Amino acid sequence: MQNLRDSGSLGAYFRRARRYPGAFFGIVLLTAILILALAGPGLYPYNPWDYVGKPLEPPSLAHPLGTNDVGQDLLSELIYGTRTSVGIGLAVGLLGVLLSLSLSLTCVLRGGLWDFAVMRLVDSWLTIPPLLLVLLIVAFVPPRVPVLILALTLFSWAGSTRILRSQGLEIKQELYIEAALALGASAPYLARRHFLPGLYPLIILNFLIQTRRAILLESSLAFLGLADPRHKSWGMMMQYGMKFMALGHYWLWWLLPPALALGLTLVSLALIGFGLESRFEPTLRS
Amino acid sequence: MSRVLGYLFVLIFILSLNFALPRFLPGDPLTALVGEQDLIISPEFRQELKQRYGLDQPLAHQFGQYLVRLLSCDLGYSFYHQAPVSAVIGPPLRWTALLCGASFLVSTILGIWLGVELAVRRSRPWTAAVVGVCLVLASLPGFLLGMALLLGFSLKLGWFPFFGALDLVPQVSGSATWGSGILRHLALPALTLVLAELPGVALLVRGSLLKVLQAPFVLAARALGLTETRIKYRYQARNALLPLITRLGLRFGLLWAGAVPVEVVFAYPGAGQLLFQALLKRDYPLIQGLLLVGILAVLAGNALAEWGYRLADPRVRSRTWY
Amino acid sequence: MKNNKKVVWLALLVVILAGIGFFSAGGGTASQPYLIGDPQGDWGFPSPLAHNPRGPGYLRVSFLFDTLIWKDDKGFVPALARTWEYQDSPPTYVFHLNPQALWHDGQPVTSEDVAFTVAYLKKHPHPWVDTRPVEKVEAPEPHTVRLILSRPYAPFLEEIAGTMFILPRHVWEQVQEPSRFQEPRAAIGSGPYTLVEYRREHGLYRFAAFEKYYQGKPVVPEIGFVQVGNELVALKGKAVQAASVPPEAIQELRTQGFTVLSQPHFWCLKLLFNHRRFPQREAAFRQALAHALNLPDLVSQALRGHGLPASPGLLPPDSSWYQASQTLYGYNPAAAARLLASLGYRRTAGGWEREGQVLELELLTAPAYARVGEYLEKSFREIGLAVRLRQMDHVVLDQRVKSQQFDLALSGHGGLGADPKMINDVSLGPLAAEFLGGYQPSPQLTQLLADQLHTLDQNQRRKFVAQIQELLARELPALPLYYPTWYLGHDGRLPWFFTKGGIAKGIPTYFNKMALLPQTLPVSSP
Repeated sequence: MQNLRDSGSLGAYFRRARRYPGAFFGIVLLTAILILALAGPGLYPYNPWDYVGKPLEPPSLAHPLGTNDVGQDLLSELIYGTRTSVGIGLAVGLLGVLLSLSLSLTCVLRGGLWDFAVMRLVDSWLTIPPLLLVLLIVAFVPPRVPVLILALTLFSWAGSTRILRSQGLEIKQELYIEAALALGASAPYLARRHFLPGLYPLIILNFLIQTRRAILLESSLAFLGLADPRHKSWGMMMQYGMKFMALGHYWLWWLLPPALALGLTLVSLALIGFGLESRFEPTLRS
Repeated sequence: MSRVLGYLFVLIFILSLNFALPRFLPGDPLTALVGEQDLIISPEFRQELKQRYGLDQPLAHQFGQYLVRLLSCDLGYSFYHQAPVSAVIGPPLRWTALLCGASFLVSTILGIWLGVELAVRRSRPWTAAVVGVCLVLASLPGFLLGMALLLGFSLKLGWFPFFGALDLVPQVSGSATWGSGILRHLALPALTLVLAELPGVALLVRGSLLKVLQAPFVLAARALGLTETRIKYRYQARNALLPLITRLGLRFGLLWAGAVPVEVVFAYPGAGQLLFQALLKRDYPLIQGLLLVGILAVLAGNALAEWGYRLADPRVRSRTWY
Repeated sequence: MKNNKKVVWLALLVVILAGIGFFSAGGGTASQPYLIGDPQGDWGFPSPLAHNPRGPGYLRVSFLFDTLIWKDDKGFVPALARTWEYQDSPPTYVFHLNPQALWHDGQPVTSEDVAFTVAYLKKHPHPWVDTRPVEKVEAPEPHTVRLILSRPYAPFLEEIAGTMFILPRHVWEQVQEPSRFQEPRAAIGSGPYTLVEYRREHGLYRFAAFEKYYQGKPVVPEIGFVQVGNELVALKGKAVQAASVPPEAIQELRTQGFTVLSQPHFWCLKLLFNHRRFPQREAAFRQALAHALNLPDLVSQALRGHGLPASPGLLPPDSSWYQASQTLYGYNPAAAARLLASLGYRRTAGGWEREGQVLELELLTAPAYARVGEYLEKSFREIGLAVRLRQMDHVVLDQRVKSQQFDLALSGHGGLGADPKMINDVSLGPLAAEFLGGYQPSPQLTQLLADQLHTLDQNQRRKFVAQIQELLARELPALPLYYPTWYLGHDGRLPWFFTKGGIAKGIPTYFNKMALLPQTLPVSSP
């Protein structure tokens, strides 16, 4: 992984972006979704908890996605659901990355028994299927948002830790690290000034991967009925929508929009990740 | 040695979690054993249950009892089904094994083939498009694909059935139609899982193959005049396959877990559908039993895959056996 | 070279797929079983003592096992007993069994089997049949049996004679653990169908007509229940022939030629009050909350109009015991405010205040009734009452209600079409906490409840039940909110009818096995 600290003027940035159309598209898409999540509830007049129309109305000017089986506006459900699903995903991604970063750095810098123990833990931890174990937890502990975030983070730190650690070890081999150590640099200093910059791309990449996996897991859980009932979620929307799947064209505005929203979010994250990967691993470019 | 210890650690962790979680349930600890069937539980029976499961004993004792019961394959008793959990799990597990096994096989074989093609023909125009499609499919959750297939092929076109795993109405008696009935019911769920898994495998193979393509031994093989196919499969692919094999165990685990929402979408009577129903009815003994079996199956698969990797990679084989 | 190989593989794949298609499309002349779709699927092994205690579990067994008497849409009809009579002292029911009745294995049904059944159920109770009122059973002749009660028991015919499955003595004599007895022999009954296949994971029950059934061979040779993911999809796709359907689909189904029937309203959603707390234990408070709700509006919002606002006397108009209540609680926020004030509450900016404390209550709801909970919260807010909505799992909710750790809760139950003994069940005894929030019936109500149970004179009993409903309406131990309307869709082949008061003890479904019999027997009874 070379060329990690290219100079970044905005023009140069955009020029580079054009070379990776997939990633660029992904970023645009993701930004749109984030805007929807953040600004949507403020801009759109309806609240998904209010009864604003007759039940099961088809789309109209007042309700672009129609209403659900009790008269709540579906577009507002979609918008608030975006906030929930993406929010949980981002939180899990952030927590996971923080956790794996600190663990991997301590492994690299401390080494020895700590490194050995953590890596053995990581190896074992990776063998556990995430969905099944989160299902087990959430079946018994009521699925509130904090519980979901914690449970999902529980299964996102292991993979990143291993990746960050191996990259960290490579950096450790660099001569300038030896030099810094010789000059008496402390571990936190090393971490901040030397390791972090070198790990940035991997950190971002892993953040994206973990966020994507978390959003996917959360939607699957919600689809199975295990979501926080106080927050709207895409998966729940789809689960309700499936009940009316065979009835006329309801699936078009009830099932399709959250499916599209979920799909586009996941794809955009994947595209950005893929673009980043090809940027730093030229052999992958096709 | 460390590997074995690692697996042991995970096993103990999972068993402890499985044991401890029901205690988190609010209210009567008996709920975890009985679910919501206390309609038929008389006070005398409650007492009997308490004694049989030792609920007034210290935790350590209960844990010990729990382990002993597990060793004799006693996964508890489902009061909803009025049958031991192991009996309830049996038939659905076979269906899920069929579904996952078939999908795993097809997605692995086709995925390897596709990955090899994508890597070797990377300069062709259609490669980028296919890679893009793979990327999109790989990021989508299985149940989305499943719903789309159900809507399209079952509902609108009527080519495939909506639920079940076999034809309840044998059209003509005979084992051929029984088999074809199973295949018809299996087609869409299996297709969903294949579509969800195949792109990932293909991309993985492509990635690792691209690294290998210009390796010296390939040049040597070409110089010796071997055919392209031979080079492709016997030399390039084989080396690129090693990372795939390491991940095979993981992939199997993901497939197993991914089958849960897919079975729900297609009302396929496998372990995933059973789990969904058990969650709805809060049949805790069944939930616990199912999840334990599922997780253990994945762990076993991982262990097998790792062992297979060690066998397959001659570089590792020569090292110490663990 | 490579391309040829690819073509060969592709061709092989096509051939295989075509073969599958050919085989499965191949026309069949085998009989098609009539399938009923069910979303839940498995309701336990279909034996009288192993089935899931809920209604659907009982229903499936009813196809395999007969009771002494049964019900059709008008009232009691003969089943295993051809005729029956009542003798006064001691209170005795005498049943004359149909001599043509056979068990599925060919043995005749005799009074010994009935006597054995009662004795066996006393040892291994069936969740639905309380055999305690039966003191003694005599079997003087092979086809005559006398059930002697300890005292007159009005619900006897419905709850015991009409609900108790008769067991074959030669099969169950040796069985010590009836709930674990799940072999094929356990399904040997005297009903119109025999068990062909039971697949737990499919929720599949396949029954074949019993040729030698004493009421004539059933019209439908094969019938079954199966689990479906989406009932509407399965019905429209002809994968099943009958299933419950959402109200929105009625129009579409009717135009496609399906028959859609609505069911009498025998299920009710109630607002429960915790009678251990103030002010819930005050009748004035409960009445105030009743006035704060616009029930017709609630029905149109939460049920899209498919339901009935509930009667405060609990029983629905569809029940033959229904008596329109004199006390009504129309939507009247002013009256609500007055009632609250009468308890010492003062309306302030912050809510209803009493002795310096603002009244704040917590309303528990399960996710299924979330909408109703939201509506209630809004309605109460409009009269100034602060109610916090809390959603929780229905199992947890039941726990909280049973242990009386709640303020208000939403909970529902069925069986409202059955014998009025049901009211006794929900107001007294161990279930009272769960059904009425710990309400202590007044001595007057308790007396009435006891009386109606032991009065055999129908008219007198009817008067008692009317008075009970009036008392309930005035006291409002729980506030009934609505009766939802449920719909059944089927392909019209079979004359499904709704049993009077629901099957057996009041199961509100359409699938009465009598619809499957040749219509030759006379109906009705004492």
